[in-house]
This record gives sequence, C-alpha cells and structure tokens, in this order.
Amino acid sequence: MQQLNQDKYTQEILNLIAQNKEKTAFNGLVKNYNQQLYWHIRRIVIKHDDANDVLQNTYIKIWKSLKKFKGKSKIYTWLYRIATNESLTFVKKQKHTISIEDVELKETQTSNQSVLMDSFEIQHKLELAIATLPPKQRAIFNLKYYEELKYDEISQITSTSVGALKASYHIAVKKIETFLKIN
Amino acid sequence: MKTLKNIEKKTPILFGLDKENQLKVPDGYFESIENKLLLISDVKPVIPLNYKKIFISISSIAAVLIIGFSIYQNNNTNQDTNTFNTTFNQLTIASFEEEMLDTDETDLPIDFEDTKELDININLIDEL
Repeated sequence: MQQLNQDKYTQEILNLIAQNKEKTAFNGLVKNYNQQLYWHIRRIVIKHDDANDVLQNTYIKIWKSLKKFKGKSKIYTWLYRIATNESLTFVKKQKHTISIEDVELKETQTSNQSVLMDSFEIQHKLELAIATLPPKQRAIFNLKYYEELKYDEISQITSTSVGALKASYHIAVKKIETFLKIN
Repeated sequence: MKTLKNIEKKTPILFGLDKENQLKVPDGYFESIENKLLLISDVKPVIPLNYKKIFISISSIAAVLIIGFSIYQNNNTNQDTNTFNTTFNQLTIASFEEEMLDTDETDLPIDFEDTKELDININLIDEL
C-alpha cells in the first residue's frame, strides 16, 4: 500500500481542481487508492462481485463530486466516506443477510510448518468473524484495525461520535475474540 | 492510547496476527479494474433532469395560461352582455315607440283638460 503524505497530496488534488484538471486529479485517485478502497469495501460487502460493483459506483460518485471537494478534510477521509456510504447503502438494499458461507477465502497454502498453518487458519477465521458483525460495526472495525485510522478520522468518515466509535470498536473486538476462541 | 493498549492486552489473538488479506481475489483483478476505473473520467457527466423543477415550471405556465384565458373569456362575455343589453334596451325603446305610433285614438289617455266628459262619467259611477 503506497504511503502518501496526506496533507501534501490533498493540496495537490486541490491545486489540480483549481486549474480545471479534474481528470488528472481523478486518475491519480484511481491509481493511488483503488486497492485500499477495494479492501475497505470488500470487508463490508464481503463478496468480491459485490465489492467490484460498489467500487465502480464509488469512483463514479468521486468523479461527479470531485469539483465540490474543498479540502475541509483530507482527501483519503473524503474517499473513504464515499466508499463507506456506498457500501452500507448496498448492504442495506441486499435482500439476504451475509453469512459465513458467503466469505470467499484464499486457499490455504499446504506447508509442513504447523505454525504457519495455524497462522493462516486464524487469519481465515478472523475474516469469518468479521463477516458476523453488523455492517456498520464491520466498517468501523476495518477502519480501526486494518487501516489503523485515528478515531477522529473515522468519526469524519462515518459521521459517528468518537465515544460511539470507541464503544462499537470494543464490542467488535470482544465478539471477534470470542469467535476465535470458540472456533 | 491507554484504552487501545488495554484492548490489545485483553485480546492477544487478534492483535498478535499479521494483518494480511485472506479474502480471495481473481487473478489480475487490480490491473484490469484500474484500467476500467480510468475510463470513468472519459465519459462526460450527464446532468440529471430535475423532474420536480420541470413539473413546477410546467404547472406555473399552465396556471398562468388558464388564468389569462379565463380573464380574456370573462372580458368577452361582459362585452357581449353589454352589447346584448344595449341592443335589448334599444329594441324595447324602439318597440315602445312603435307601439306609440300605432296607437289608436281611442287608446290614448284622456285629456284631463277636457273635464266635462270626465265629470259625466264619474256621476254615472256614483249612481251605480
């Protein structure tokens, strides 16, 4: 994952928008963020095909709204906000609720080293555990655990208070830990 | 930060893991999706029709036309009525005058200057 100086990059995007170079700005956002956004979306919607659709819808929304970006937040916060909203809207519209069977896992690499096997197995179970969380809790957990964002930033993305985020994250962690212990 | 460290201590399994993606992704997906996403900016954004605004505009125009037509119709009706009344009045006067001209001498009202005849008639009524 490419690490960018977020303040600098946000300013770069703003400069491009000011110069009416939205296409250049957008292409940069595609190249620098498409994988990050994909994984964030994937962990909310679970299935690859759904994540693919939501990712494209997210970028269409980004393209349409790019001119309105004023730099009140960092660019990645703004991108994650759009992606989170699109994902949660998608999940809400879904007719069936996500279950563990919907989780498409990588094939476990066969190895003689039992330690590695255990690690893969636990990581697989973690993905299953995340799928059991409610959608918004999944989003918050992903942003905190995988993306390692600060609570203030997650608050901007999800429009939730820091206190509520902390509570939600703690509950999610406890649920996952219990799932891993039982399974 | 203290709270986060506490969670990590309490949930060693979770926080002892490498944060690697274990979800399956089709081979070559990220290369192909990047090319697809870049095409989005080649399409000119379609400005969606605001159906609410269009409906309000059409309704306003229709309302103005209907009110305008009603006023026009009303004016025309009043003129017709006035014309009719004028014509009617003229006819009435005309017919009255005609009648007057056609009147027989015997229908004319008694000339009260000639009272003698009148007195005789009154006397006859008294006797009756």
